[in-house]
Amino acid sequence: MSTILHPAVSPIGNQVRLPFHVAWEIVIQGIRIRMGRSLVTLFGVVLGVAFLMSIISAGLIKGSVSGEIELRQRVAAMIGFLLADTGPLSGKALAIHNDTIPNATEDRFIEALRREGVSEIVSIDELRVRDEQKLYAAIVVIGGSLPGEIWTKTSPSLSHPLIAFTQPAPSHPAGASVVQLEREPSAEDLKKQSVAQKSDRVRTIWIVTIAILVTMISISNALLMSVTERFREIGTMKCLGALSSFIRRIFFIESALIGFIGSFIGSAFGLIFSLAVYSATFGPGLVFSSLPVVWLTAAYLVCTVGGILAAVIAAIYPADFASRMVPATALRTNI
Amino acid sequence: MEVTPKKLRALLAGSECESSGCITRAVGVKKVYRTGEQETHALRGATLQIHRGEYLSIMGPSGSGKSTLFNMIGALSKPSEGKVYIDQVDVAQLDFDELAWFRCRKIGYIFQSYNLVATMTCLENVTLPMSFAGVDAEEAHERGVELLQLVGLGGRFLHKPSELSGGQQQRVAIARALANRPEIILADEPTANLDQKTGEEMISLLTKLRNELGVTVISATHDLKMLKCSDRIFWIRDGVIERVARPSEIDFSSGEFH
Ligand SMILES: Nc1ncnc2c1ncn2[C@@H]1O[C@H](COP(=O)(O)OP(=O)(O)OP(=O)(O)O)[C@@H](O)[C@H]1O
Ligand SMILES: [Mg+2]
Repeated sequence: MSTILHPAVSPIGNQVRLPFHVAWEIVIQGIRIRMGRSLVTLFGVVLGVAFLMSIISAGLIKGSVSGEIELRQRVAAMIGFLLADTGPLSGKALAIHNDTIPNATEDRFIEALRREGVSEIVSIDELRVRDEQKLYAAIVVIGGSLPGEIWTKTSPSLSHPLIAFTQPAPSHPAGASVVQLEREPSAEDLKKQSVAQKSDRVRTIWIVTIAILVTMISISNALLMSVTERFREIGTMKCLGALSSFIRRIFFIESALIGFIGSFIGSAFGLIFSLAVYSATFGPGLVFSSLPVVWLTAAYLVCTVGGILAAVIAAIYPADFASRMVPATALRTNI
Repeated sequence: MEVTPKKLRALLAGSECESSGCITRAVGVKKVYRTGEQETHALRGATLQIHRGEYLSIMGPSGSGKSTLFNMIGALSKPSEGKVYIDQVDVAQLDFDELAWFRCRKIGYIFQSYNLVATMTCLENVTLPMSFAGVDAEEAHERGVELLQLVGLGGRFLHKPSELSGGQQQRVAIARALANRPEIILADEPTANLDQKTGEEMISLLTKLRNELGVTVISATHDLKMLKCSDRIFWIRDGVIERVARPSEIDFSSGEFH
């Protein structure tokens, strides 16, 4: 037992766990000094995330642009049909009644009416309350119906029949005709549409999956390279007393940081790319007037966070491998 | 400090070492490298004792196993067979954490290719092992500056290794090896990449450290100048220590033993 107490024998302690900021400083300094290499790694992340973001944002923009185009066509058809019934509306007053059409359509319809020069638009409910003798050019009924006798008319300009009913309404304010605008897609149309929608969704899921895979591979490849290049340095650090956990932490911090910067920039590139392509195709006015800002912001966040996660996940293997390396082996590598 | 049963075993393991004068001991150390089908027997049973405060050289032809032995007695790799005791501790009994603690405080390493951390300044290279040992930044800085002055690198603290000559880099490596007041300095061909004159300066620096600080210097080398300064020389060949000699027993004109 006396040997334990021998002065030459110092008990072995536990290695000091360094605070986070030490690892952080080493990472920052490393990135700065190896700027060229860091940029190459960063580029890998940017490329992957930009690809993913461009696919997602293009899908979103496409949806909103085609919705916008359809809406514009529809409003134009409604206006055309109304004008056919009433003649020019400039300076005239209109009553309007909407039961079923989404507010966005109604808003756009009213906007279009104002462009036609309609001087006053009143809702039916308001009209009922008002007790006045005034000439309204028409009572526009969007969806739903008004009681009373009606005639049918079909629009030649739309593929779907736009059904309108007019009547010289004695029960309504003097001289006004009732124009009912209602779009009734056929069952066949509905079926066609849902098939198209489904195959579109399948394709989108497929493309996004591929994009995520490409992003993961691009990121992990870049990080794997940057770890492999540093085996010697890792071996050196271990000789100097670095713990495996410290080595691992360094790679995780670096990956997360490069992942964050890379995917933030990458998302921006991806978004700019799809905005540019769609603006060139459909015109910037159409694209920006219908921009799904909330969805795009969400996609931006998802891609950025996803990029960071991908980077950290991609770093698990190389970081673990590096931290487990026997110093002698690590020091032998010559890259 | 807490002494667990495991540590106790580790501590007792080397107690057969005949006296406290023995700092490193290897018993029947074998190392086999497997690369695919092929097996390389880099060490075929090396047994040795190195005394505290000794200046020891390991010499031998290329591929004889010097670096492998260096790794074994430096706790940088585990033997395939046999035992290594450093400061009476059986290295094989240590876990990763304890190994890190051990490398950090007990041994200072010097390599043929310097192995400085390229992204750090000279001073940071020297303070790095101190921060691993938990020395606070200010104290580490002070000691780092002192050490760099000691090795003759006065005003070059803030240079990156790439901006220094080979000899200067090796000086930084020596300062770094001394950072945590190790008992052993292990050097693998420290002068191989240096010119004649710088090599000599390096050798006198190591001799001075041994004489003044009493550290044990163990170095693998081909360099005759280094052999001359040694207390003892291990001649290794094909993975076994063939001879142990004193410099006086070597004919330096031919590089052969008498
Ligand atoms: N990691 C390894 N994997 C496979 N073989 C190895 C490994 N390390 C060393 N060897 C082999 O072990 C033998 C001894 O190598 P070692 O590096 O110890 O020689 P050395 O005496 O240091 O030579 P030198 O003077 O050239 O540095 C050599 O045949 C070498 O090829
Ligand atoms: Mg060697």
